Amino acid sequence: MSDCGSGDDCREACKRLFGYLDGVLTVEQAAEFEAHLKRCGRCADAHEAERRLLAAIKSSEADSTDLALRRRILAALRSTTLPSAPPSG
Amino acid sequence: MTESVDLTPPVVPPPADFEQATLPWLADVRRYAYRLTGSAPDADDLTQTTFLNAFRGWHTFRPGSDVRRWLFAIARNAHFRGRPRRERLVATEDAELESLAAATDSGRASAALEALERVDLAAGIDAEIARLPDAYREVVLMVDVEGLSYEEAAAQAGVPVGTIRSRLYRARRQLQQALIVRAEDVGLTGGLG
Repeated sequence: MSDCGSGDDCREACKRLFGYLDGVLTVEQAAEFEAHLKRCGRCADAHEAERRLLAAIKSSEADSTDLALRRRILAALRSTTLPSAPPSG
Repeated sequence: MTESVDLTPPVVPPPADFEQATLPWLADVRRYAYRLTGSAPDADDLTQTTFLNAFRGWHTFRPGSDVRRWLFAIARNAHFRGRPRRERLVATEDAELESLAAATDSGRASAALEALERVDLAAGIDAEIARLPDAYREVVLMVDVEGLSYEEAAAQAGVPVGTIRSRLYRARRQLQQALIVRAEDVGLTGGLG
């Protein structure tokens, strides 16, 4: 159920899709990929779908801090002592 | 004049700079911990462990580097430490990568993401990441959330770069399918047909 086209260019573009999104292609490969997207609507749609998926995965900011958890962690931190350096001399 | 020497065993309070630097990321670490554990109580416990481990290792933090990313790595290490590694060598042929990258139904995937955005996409993503097999979850979190390169992730996981790439692609594909199913399950079927 590939959304990529069936031509050689499309197969190559699909193979490079994640590499492009991850920024691991060479400059030349990335340029070729982008040129293909301009010519091929199906690959452009596939690229957009993957881009949105990765954006959702990468989003790791949280909305609010649980105050009870914050208090619990602060209490744990403040009852923790770091190992002291061995006395010199 | 004789200087007095304090022989009291030191009770070291958390350095103010530690709290100042790390606590702003508490909610993000908690979300990351939930993605690792898939359970709210376990995520709370892991978050606490992460901050305690970070506190003990604060002297190893390199000033100027990314505190949030450092905390994420501590959480991940704490979670996976001691768990049996179920390594599976995955041959990474170009043909396989091609099929993984291409095996997408972009129309349904986009519609599912749009539909879930109207409800709570973040909760869906977090839950589905938590459901991934350990090896897939680990690589998604390392590469997609922490921003490690394939090479850095390979070094940390102790597997070849090709294995990282293959697991990453499989994990993303699995997440995409899971989100489509989730959107359908909660009745957000408009446009998914």
